[in-house]
Amino acid sequence: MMKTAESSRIYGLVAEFDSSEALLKAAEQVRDAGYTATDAFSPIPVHGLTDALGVRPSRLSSLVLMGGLTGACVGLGLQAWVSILAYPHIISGKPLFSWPSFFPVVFECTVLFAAGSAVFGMLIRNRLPQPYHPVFSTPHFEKATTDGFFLCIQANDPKYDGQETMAFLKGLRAIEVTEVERHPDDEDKS
Amino acid sequence: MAAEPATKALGHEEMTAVIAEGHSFETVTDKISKISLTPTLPRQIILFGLIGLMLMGALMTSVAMLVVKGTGVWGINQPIGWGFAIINFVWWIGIGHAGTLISAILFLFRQEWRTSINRFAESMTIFAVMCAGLFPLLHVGRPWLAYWLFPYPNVMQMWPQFRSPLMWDVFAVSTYFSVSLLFWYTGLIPDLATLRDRAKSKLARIGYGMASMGWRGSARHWQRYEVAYLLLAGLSTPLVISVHSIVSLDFAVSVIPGWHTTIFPPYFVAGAIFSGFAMVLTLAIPVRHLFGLKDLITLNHLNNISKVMLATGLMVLYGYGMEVFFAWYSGNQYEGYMMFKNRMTGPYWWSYWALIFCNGVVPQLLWIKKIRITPLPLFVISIVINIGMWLERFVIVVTSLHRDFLPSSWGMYAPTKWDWGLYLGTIGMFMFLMTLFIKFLPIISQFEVRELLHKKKHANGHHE
Amino acid sequence: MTETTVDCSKLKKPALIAAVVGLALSAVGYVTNHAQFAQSWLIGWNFWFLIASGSLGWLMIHHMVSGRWGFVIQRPLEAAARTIPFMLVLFVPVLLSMHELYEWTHEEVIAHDHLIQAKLPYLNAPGFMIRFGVYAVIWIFLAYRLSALSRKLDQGPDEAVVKKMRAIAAPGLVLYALAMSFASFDWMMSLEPHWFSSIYGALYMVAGGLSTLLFMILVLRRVPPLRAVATAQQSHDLGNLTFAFTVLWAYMTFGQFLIIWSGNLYEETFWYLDRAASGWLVVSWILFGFGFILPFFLLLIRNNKRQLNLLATIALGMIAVRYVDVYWQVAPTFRDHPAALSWMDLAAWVGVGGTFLYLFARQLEKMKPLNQDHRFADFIAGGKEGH
Repeated sequence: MMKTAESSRIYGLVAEFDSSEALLKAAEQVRDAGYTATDAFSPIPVHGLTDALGVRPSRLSSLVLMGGLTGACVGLGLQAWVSILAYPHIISGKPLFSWPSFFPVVFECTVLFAAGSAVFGMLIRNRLPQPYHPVFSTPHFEKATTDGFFLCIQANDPKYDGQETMAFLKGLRAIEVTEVERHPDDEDKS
Repeated sequence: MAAEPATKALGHEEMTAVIAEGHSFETVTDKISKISLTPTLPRQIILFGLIGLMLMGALMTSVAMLVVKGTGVWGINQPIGWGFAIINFVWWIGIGHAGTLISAILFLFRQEWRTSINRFAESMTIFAVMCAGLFPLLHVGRPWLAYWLFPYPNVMQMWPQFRSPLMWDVFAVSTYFSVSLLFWYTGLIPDLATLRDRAKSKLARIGYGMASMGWRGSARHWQRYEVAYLLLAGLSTPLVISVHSIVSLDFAVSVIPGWHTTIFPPYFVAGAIFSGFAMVLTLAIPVRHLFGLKDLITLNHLNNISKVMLATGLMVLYGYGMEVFFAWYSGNQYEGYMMFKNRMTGPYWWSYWALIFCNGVVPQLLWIKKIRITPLPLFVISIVINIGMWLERFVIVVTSLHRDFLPSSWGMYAPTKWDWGLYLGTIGMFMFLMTLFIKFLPIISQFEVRELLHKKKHANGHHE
Repeated sequence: MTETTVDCSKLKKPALIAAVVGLALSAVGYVTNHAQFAQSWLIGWNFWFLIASGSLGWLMIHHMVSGRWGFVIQRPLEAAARTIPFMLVLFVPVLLSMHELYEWTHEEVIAHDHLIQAKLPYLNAPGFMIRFGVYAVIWIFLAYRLSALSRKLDQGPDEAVVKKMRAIAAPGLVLYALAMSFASFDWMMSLEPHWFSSIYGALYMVAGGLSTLLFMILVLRRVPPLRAVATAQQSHDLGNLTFAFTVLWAYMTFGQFLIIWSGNLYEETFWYLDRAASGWLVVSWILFGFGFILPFFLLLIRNNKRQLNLLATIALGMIAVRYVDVYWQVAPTFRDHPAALSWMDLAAWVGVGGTFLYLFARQLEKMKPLNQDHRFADFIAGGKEGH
């Protein structure tokens, strides 16, 4: 689809709601109306919101499981290699491959790798850090981290149509609907 | 801290409340973020931080002295090579454990009362582990070579010895610190964003903005965030148990009388939780008083913390009992001598009986409900327990080492002023870091309190 | 809440037959081969007693924390705890077989064994019996007092009764833990009078707690009025607890091994050397694989915990491993090879088990399937949120 200069300047429409219930209801209606490039912003995790937006469940758990198993292998491999090949010494009459005493380090490595996968996996998949984002220029958006609930329909949504979408969002009992630009500060340069 | 009048007539509602009535998202967020965003602090906190800073001077001096002269400035010598350094290491690590316990295990058990104290407790963990880490680092004698502890290819062609519990410690403590830091920071991200959005000064906005990494509360982000947080909690729970178990193995895998006993891992873990919860109380009681957070850290919290302390205290007492019984039942003359002729009646008898008094007798006061919900006696009990748990490590380390199998190698141990300087110095460092935390970061997890409020509103709606 | 009682007739009849047949065969065993009988009986009895005593432990923990997992299994826990006096009667054959089981009762061994001589103030037959009596009083008092109080709640919610149950449960747990620990030293650890391990009592309780959880999952699955109210959430909670206890058991078992293995003192290691001898090594690995690794991964999967039928299948497998564990604790003292099984092992297990299940069913059918505790009512009213 060809985008005009005007439409590519616009990031999307952001509607503000007064409660998580209103946001949830609106999100369901937006999904049912066929919008796909949507997002919602809330000061607390709202249960059911991702379902309402049609977002797939997160696959982070499998990543963490893989991370943990990798950690276990690294821990065991490291100790086995060090104790058997790199630096073989008999200590207190124990065999070179003293698996009982390797357990603790294997465990710690498992946890370290799994926890790292959880946090960095989450950050990377969320594309954070991202200091600037167009929705930040929405009026009152600072409330999104206190008590504001916002719903955004992006301009790149195939169903997006400036006037019509605006009217649709207003019909969802939003407090306020704003058109948000991609780079509000660039206005005078362009 | 005078006893609150509310304690006199507590209704069922007040006793079970994890957050007082009449709060909204706006009011709780405001109440908590105000602490970080107002430029002033209560005088008592400033004083607390200054004392911390002063004691840090002692820390710096003691470290400098140690680095210049060597570990000879400490009271350690044959046969007690593990003096204050290990006692304080174990003490601090133990204190740290309650933080992880509160944030992870209580999270998994969906204990709502954790919400108001978890951030506080997690910060306590981070700072306590930092203090703990200093001791083995300095105890190696040449701290600038401490990286030798890690397995890395080197020109000496030497590798660490993985059958040693000290090596397990290196992995356990560094993993514990890393994972606790990740857990703490992950929990902070949404709150840092809140501070960014509420801050008035540009500097604060930039600072909190960078730290929050541009968090905007997107539904997609929250989804992954919640999964990550749950998984971190699930991972931290066995981690915290493993860490103190490994610390206990530092002692237990040896054959020193008094150290080599199989109850050590769970008994150390219980002791760690015990001392950690005591430290949470020591810090939380003044803070809730000074910042007027009685709505958020309610008497119900104090009651619950006290119950956990009572339960873990009894487990610790069970451990002491088993130690005594098996010293006799083993039929091993060295074990028997160590327990009955040395620990109980030897030159350090006072430390053993003081320990029993602090950890065995005093916590029994917590059976009384009135004490569990009265801040002042609780505060005193928590300090007694902190002392008791320190004494426990003193008893374990010193009495077992000072008389081993051969009377010819017996000796006594007394800490020097540099030992005390370092110990008090780490307490100062802890106090100072705690002050910085109180000043700059939200001391209660704002988004979780909001969530709790939301849930409560929802539940009330159902009943009507 | 349903007013119906539990229909246990399906369980009672086969249990009674099993009890009669098993006990009769065991009696034959007692006469024909006393030594063999004694081992088999101790193993079979221990397996079931851990469930009965573990139920008392869980019951008290439930009164303390009132988790939502506890309300549906509270009555089965009470029923199982109320079998304790009868189970203790079944311990009498052990008292009659002390000479066959416990080396420290042999005069000729004591005469040449300094270590046992040193332990005689504790390890002696009168002491053993007196302590048995003390444990019995503690357990029976707690089980009957708590279940009687709980029955009062059938008339309607009563805050005072709940408070009373709590007031008994808290110090009760302390006494219970002490009694269980010393019982494990008397009955199990002293099979090897030289050996000692200070974690043994805790380990015994954790193993009992695990056996009980598994048994309760099976009860929940099998008893219709309970199954009807058990939600996926409760199944999930029980699954999580099972997971936690599996890990806890593995942690303590491994901790004990690691400390003894590293210390390498003969007075301790011989216990493990017995269990690392050719045939027993296989059992040790089975215990590791099927007692820890497999259930660990199975119970990591959320769905396996939320669906009661899947959880019950896993529990059935795990409860078999509990028998292996008891066998592994006791038998290596007497048997050079784990395959030296006897028909009496089966007879004792069936006999004691039949008796336990029959008594359990009789107790359960006298009770209302669900308690009328107000905390439970709150929990039902509050939907899925409980504390």
